[in-house]
Amino acid sequence: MKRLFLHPAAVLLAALLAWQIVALVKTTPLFPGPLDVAGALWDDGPRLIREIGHTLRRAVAGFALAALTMIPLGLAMGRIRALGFVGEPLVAMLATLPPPATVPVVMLFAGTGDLAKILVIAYAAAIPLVINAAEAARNLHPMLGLVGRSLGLTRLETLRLIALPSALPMLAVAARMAASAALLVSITSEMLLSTNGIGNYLQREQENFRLDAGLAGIVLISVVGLILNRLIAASERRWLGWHYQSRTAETQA
Amino acid sequence: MTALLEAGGLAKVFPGRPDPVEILRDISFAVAPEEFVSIVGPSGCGKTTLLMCLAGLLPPSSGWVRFRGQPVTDPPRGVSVVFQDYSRSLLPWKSARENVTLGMRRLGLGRAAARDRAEALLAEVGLAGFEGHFPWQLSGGMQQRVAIARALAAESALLLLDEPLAAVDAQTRADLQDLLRGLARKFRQACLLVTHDVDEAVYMADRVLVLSRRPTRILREVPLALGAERDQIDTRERPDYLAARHEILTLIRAARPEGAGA
Amino acid sequence: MTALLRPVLALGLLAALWQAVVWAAVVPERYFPPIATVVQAGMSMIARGQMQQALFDTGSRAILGAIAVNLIGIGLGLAATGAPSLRRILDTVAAILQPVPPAAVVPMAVFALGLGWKLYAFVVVLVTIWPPYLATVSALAATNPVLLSVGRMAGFGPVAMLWHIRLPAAMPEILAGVRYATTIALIAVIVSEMITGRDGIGFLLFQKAFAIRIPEVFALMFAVGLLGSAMGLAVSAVYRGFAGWHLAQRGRAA
Repeated sequence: MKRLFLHPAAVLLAALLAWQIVALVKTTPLFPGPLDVAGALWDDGPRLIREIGHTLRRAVAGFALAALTMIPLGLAMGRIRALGFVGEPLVAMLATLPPPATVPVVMLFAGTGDLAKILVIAYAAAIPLVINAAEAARNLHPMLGLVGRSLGLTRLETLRLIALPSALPMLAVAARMAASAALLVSITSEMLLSTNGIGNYLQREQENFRLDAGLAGIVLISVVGLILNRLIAASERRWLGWHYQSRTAETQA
Repeated sequence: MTALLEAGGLAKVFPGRPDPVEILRDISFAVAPEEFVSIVGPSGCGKTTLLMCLAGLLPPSSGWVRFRGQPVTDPPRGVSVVFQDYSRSLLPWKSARENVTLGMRRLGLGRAAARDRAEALLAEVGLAGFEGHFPWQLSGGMQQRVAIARALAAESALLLLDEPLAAVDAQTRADLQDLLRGLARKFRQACLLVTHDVDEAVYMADRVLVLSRRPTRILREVPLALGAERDQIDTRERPDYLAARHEILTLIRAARPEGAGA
Repeated sequence: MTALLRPVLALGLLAALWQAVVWAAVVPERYFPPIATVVQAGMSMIARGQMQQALFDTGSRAILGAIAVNLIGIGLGLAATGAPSLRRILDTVAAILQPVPPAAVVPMAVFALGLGWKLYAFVVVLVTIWPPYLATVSALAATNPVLLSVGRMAGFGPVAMLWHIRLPAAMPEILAGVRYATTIALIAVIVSEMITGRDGIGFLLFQKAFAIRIPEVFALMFAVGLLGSAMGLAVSAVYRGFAGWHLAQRGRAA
């Protein structure tokens, strides 16, 4: 009995019920209940899908831009000492600048359209990618390079067959951080530079005191974020299973 | 003489997929006070599992363990373990001295007394001057000396040694073998040494228990009379040493699973 | 020595690059002013007291928020470790709330809580609490089993085990969560200021940008970077205090 009572789903349901009761007592559109939110989700459904499509499109573009430029740069910083020596403190310095703080400047150069937002998203995603790629390349076990040489591999083969796979677990962690940063900043940039997207929707509806619609937008963001996380976790299991299994074996030994 | 540690009908089965894995089957033996017993067996035969059951760290599936006549369910007072993996069994955030002090928690000493004793024990294992070092600042052999000092600190009547010297180089190994035997005699402790190295098992012990492959039983008990004083060169050339070594190696070779490599 | 040399070198390089772009005149000077102009703009904002006020507003919100959020997050992590049913509930809540950006809740929070400190407290707690919580829970569950055996042999009960073994072993991972949360706290505060548009660096950045006062925008960005660095250094100091052994150990192993 107690176990059922404390089940997360049961607790959530109870919280929703309590919320609904308070909303029914208050009877004001400024305190929407879960049913109002569900209603808004239903009414605005097609529009919400369209808006989150804009958001995701820009998030993916920004993430891809960052991944294509920053992973090679980070790996190079980790392998080439001189580059790392000046590059790393530079990156560390930039990392202290929160992505939204770059919005005003980016806006001056790139306007308020897609390009500006994609640049801010790419900046946000770039920081974990470049830091972790450099770290992964630097921490490559010296033994692995020797193994490559003893097997008679060329430099390029060593890079492809040994260096890249052993850097992958760390890059995966970075990609996960970068992906969630990309989504967060994509939404934030839409709230700051309003044209379209789910962030813009949230801003508009809440300013119009349609709080139920605002909450509906937040619910949608949460669901999309959850799905994104699941997808990343599943692909990590698929491609990096060897890493996690060897780690589990280590802790069990 | 009454036994210090006794095990009777000890068995351990781990739930596994698709079938449960039977590790230990019906193990019974006893260790007398101040006795040095070695346990050898083919690799993967569940030696560590056996030791964990004896230490009260792992409940057996059936059978019993008694220490000083009391059934063992939790780690009892008076038993210390030196773990196989010294690099993970020391707390990396504590100095050598603090790691040794950890072994004395059950003695209820004051802070200053514990500190003095820890330093004395570190000197005993040859680590005077390294009291303030952290484990990762020490070599493998030195880390294992800290782990030994920590086990000695509990003033235990019984030391359980789980392949304590498996990961150190040959010279350090010989030194630590003599150190361990010397300290066990000095502090009048019984020792139970688990090892896969037959030479080490014979050199250190008053008695060797030879295990079978999984599910593990005791194949034979080999008593030794090599004397109290051992010497790395002379002892290893004695005819009775060589005879015991031959007997045990033959048993283990026969016990190896089919097709196992050299 | 090199510890000091490298940031100085990086700063110099950044300044040189900056000045090179200015001299090459690839971007109109109006949009990309020389360093001297940026410094001048910063000085005049300091002279007017604008800079200090904004830094104080943003800094106090972010720093107090980060301290509170990390303490609450670690506390919840400890509580959840002791009570598995609480952990299941909190994990569900974390999974739901983690993807929500701070900006998304600001308009509603303004409506419910006004523009004062309660707004910032709410936004920072809601979006920042999860990294320290999740790090604490996962690190406490992953103690090396050999160390747990060592603790049992020393006769530790559950509380002593937590205090002497599990918590110290978990510290490096917990503090990584703290570092992450501290960065997000600053971001959350700046975004909130941008949206509410009343005070703080976030507000000032937008105000100056819309007025096309570009040297001042750059001076403010530099100030934000300094604030971020200062908070990062504070976390590093805490890290050295609680998990310095881990840094030293890694430095030696590498």
